[in-house]
Amino acid sequence: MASLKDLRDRIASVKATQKITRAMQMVAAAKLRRAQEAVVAARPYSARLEDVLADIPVNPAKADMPALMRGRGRDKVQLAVICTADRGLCGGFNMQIVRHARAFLRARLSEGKQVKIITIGKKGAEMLKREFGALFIDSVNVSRYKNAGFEQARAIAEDIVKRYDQQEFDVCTLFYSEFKSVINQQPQAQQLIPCGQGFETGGGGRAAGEEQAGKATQPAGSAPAFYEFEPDIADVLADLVLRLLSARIFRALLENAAGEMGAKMTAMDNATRNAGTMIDSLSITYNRRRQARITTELIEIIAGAEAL
Amino acid sequence: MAGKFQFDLISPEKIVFSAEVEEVNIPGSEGYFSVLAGHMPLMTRAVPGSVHIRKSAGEAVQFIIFGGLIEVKTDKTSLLAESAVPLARLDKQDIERRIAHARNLLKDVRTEDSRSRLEEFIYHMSAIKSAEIGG
Repeated sequence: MASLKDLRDRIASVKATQKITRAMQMVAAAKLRRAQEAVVAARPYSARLEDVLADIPVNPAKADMPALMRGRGRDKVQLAVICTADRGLCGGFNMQIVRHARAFLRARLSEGKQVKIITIGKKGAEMLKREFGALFIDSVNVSRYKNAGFEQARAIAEDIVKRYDQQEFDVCTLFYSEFKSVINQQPQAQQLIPCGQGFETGGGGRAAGEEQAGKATQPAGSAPAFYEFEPDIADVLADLVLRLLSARIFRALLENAAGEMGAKMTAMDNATRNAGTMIDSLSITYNRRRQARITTELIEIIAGAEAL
Repeated sequence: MAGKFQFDLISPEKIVFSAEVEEVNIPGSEGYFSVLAGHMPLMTRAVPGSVHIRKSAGEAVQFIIFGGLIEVKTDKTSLLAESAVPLARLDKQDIERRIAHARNLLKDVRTEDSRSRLEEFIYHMSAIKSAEIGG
């Protein structure tokens, strides 16, 4: 049985832990607010780009549509870009994304497809390395940057496009977690390449985010604007696609950052509360034990006195 | 004076400018052009340069953009710019950094397309540098 001193030490240590979790919760809350603002502020840009894409009349027969939009008409080699946080201690946040991605990867593999993986963020790499280690082609480290920047997203997008041009893969799917609210983050899979509508191939289309699915069901002829393209449609589209990919990755990074902080805040709040309950129950045991000892001592004294 | 139309200047981080304006002068890939109310739908690439926005007679704003996408619709015009800074806050070092970065990229590009695009970028950035900062 634990002695009184052990109990005292235990209470002190739990109290110290509680202090840490409480501090982490407050830090997460402050960061969350900033991350949330960044997500909201960044939405118009990607939303407008998606609108533009939806406005462009899709014509598969036309060669002026870049391959990135059209796809190559096959889905033999799949690339999964998996965005997670760099750190743990945020509840099931990373696990959710990883589980979602893992199900996708296993399904593709069982279909006999070739799969390649790029991870963004350390945690995802750590969790997936054991099962899919051989499939990794790159791990992007974003922790060097304090806040996710658009330039960085653009660099990642450029890298992906380069790999596509070198025929490294046919279909690219992006995994991240959408920030719905502080306590709710939804893991998402979004098809990045090919990004033109009506070209969803293989599993990517099925698993594509709600937003995507909603757009795809729009009637094809819903009053597309008839644009004049300058200098020509191919030039504009090539530019648009890169921009769109960057925007999507940027958005994924921001949503992830906000989600991570939300999950961390919730997790740390729970931890603080758990520590509180633990301290309470330990204190009760401690007090009882102390009282019991005093009682025993008293009984011994009284019994000694009576014996005289 | 002519009618007004909605103009939005949006960067990936936020909406930089959004208001009813009379005229916008934008650096397109084929040269500077002006948009007035009722312009025909147009989509084109923007190159680094300065955007003049005239809200009403005598009330103008100027931004420097580093490339983007312009979408003109009959009732509204959007400029999706990679980054946009008000002219007053233009930073010479930032421009030099971007030019240096582009030069770096230029070293290992393979396709003719991206090479010409980078060269175009550097050209326009240098133009901004000499025009707006003087140096």
